Amino acid sequence: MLAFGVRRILWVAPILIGVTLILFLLLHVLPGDQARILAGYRQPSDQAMINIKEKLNTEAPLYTQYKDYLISLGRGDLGTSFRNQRPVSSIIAESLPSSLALASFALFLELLIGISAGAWAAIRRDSFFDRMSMVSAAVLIAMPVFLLGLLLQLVFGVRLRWLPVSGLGDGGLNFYILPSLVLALVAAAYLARVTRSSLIDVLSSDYVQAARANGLSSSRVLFVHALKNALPPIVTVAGLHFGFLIGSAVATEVVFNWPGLGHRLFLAVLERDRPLIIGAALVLSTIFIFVNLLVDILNAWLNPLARVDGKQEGLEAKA
Amino acid sequence: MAYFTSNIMLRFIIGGHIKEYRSNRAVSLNSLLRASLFSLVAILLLVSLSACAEKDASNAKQGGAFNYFLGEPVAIDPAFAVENEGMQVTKELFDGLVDYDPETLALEPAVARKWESNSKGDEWTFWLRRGVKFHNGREVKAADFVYAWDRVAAKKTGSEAAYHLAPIKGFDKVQKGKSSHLVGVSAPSKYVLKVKLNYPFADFPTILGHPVFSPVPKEAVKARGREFAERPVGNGPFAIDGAWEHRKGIKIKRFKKYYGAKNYVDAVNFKIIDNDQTGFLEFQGGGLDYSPIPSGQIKATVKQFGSNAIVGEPQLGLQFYAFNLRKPLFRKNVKLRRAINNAVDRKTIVDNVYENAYLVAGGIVPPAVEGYGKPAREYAHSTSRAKRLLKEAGFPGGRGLPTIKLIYPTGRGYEGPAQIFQQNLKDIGIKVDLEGLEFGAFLKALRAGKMSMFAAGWQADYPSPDAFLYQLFYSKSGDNLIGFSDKEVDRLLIKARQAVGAVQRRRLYQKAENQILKQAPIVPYAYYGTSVVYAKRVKGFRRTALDNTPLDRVWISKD
Repeated sequence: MLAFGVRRILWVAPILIGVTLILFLLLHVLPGDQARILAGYRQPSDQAMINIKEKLNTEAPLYTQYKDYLISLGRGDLGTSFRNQRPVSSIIAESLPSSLALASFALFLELLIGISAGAWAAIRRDSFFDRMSMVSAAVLIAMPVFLLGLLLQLVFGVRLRWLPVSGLGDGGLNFYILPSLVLALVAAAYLARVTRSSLIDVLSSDYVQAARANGLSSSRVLFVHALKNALPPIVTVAGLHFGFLIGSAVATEVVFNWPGLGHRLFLAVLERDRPLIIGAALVLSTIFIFVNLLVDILNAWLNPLARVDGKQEGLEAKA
Repeated sequence: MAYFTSNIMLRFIIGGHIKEYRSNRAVSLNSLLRASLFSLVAILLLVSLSACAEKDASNAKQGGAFNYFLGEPVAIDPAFAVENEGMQVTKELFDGLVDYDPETLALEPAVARKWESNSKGDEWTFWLRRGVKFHNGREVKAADFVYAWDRVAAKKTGSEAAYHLAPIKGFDKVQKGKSSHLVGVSAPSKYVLKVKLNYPFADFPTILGHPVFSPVPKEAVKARGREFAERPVGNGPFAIDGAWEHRKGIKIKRFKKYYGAKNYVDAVNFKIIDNDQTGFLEFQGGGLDYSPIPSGQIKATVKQFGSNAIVGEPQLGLQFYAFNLRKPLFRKNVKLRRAINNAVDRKTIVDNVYENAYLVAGGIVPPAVEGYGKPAREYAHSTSRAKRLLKEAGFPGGRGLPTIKLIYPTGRGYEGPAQIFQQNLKDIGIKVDLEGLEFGAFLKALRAGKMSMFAAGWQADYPSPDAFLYQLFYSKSGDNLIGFSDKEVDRLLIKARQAVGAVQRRRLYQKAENQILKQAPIVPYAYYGTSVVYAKRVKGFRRTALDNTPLDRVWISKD
């Protein structure tokens, strides 16, 4: 178990260096730089372009730039944003917390809605509720996030004026409700389906039948025996979702003008802000890798079989 | 009302005093003095009372905060003012030598109270107002302009906006880092600024309304370092309140020692939102007092908000299709270029795509340039005329003409007009292929000069015909995107720049514009126009043709 964890952590560094290399090359191929995009149709003079490039330190050949970047990265320096010469680390520091907070809030809602709806549907299999919840789950999964967001904004923000339309405002809880609901609903729809099928598998298994036959109450069967054994796929899905909720909540963050890291990353790409793009991607990848690791460890704890698999893998790798 | 009452009482007292004086000729000097003293006190009392009453009247407008929709600026330090969002904030924080009338964009004094040039128009003197204060309390002097302009031009500043200073003597040297001081700018005394230019330029004061020419206090720039970009110290009607919260907001508050008229609102909260749709929803939800109207919702918004929606007021921008005149097909065929100009149905474009927020453009200089008038030649939609010209050009019904490829940048609203253009040209027998490129890729292709026809949008930096005609069509201009070169046009444009008299200058620009239009190097089709909406509680709201809102005259109604 420990070796498995350590091995996974050791993989983090090469993965991250790979991320920087791919992004460096991709951004180099992407036409246009920030100064030109800003100038638009105006043609900046050659001298102006030289001055700007010197300021941004993008005059050197690409490999020198990449080498310099890695060296400063080794010192923990993510560089400065092209857009306004602010340190990338401070931009991440000011936007990551709101992304994490939103993702946590959304994950909580997702678990609450997803598991209860899925469990309910599994128990009342083929009932009206089951069909309805599975149909609405399908609709939610298929619905584009921006459309769902827009609908909620129109109803609760503009028409009823119960909740703020966008932004984080003063950081009050009411600002979190709509964006986290959008994130949670789509994810919960997926989770509900997973919960339902996993639970149905477990509920029809021999040991549950045996437990029922032994006269255990159905709620005890469900919560103590069945649900725990149905958990691994649910944890896997929810864990992966958490990673997505932080990094890939771009559409939701844009629709709700949420000052999070995904939103920043999206805009940085439009603005060709290379240091910010790479910095944000590094942080998001790191989070994603660690969340994945956490999910694996949690699953190993929940399901001894996974632990054995891990060991076997380790042995194979050694051989 | 208060003024009326106090006036009547004032007349009554003065009248009474005169009456007493007349009826008692033999009255003692003492009693006369006493009476005068009494009335003097009474008058003083009333004057102060009426002043209080007047203050009350203006107090009705005073106070409150305005919630303003803003995209994240690139910079609010005037040295880096390159885009609208940043300039909206910078213009409230800083006052330059001159300003524009929000209604007409005519030049007005600001920190400079008057200015004058030599007879050639290449040396300018500005006399500064006394008592203008920076937000740190220090008085603004001519030396602050010298420092600020040197800072913008300096190589190490690397400003994208430095090109505005190019007419000033010594600019190239400072840009190259060979000197730290613009030799053309000097402060012979505390309140006098002298500027020498590389060439005569009668419109020079007009370009000074751009925020890049704002004064900055050296001590604050030195002390704050990088912080200055986040919390600049200016001299405008508002001062920054705390630092800029990136992607969230910027707060500014009334500067109490401002030299100009006192602004009504106490504060402005710029709420930073990155897409129009969200901002507009926020406006509808009551969180904003102003928002641009997203495309596709203009007509509905006008219906809902009536006169609070400002739609279709001309701005200083032009959308056009450009012929690349480096390509022989277009360079050699004036009649082909004219035919295409006549084929385009501008009204349909403006109506269907822009919901009449933009204006039909048959010429180059927009009507928003003050007192400019219409060009003598304008291209109107006429399929039959276009067909005739096409035939005269040697391509009857489009025969013998290769397919024309029109390239436009995607995601910037060029798709709709391009489709109408394609249809219009099909009507006269010309086949057009459309190709959209991502903006960065588009600009690269533009610089390489390889596209044969492309869509372009040009926004002027200052309200002068020069910002369109000279920049786009002067043969040696860096912004001449199409390779246009005409000796007569060059001569007229240089002459116009040298013409100190406004009427003569305007006439020369009009002549140049007609000369350009005769050659049809571009297909102008729309002038930019406003499409913004403001809340019912907001009064005195104006959107200028420079696409900004002066916030010092806005007030919030309390009912």
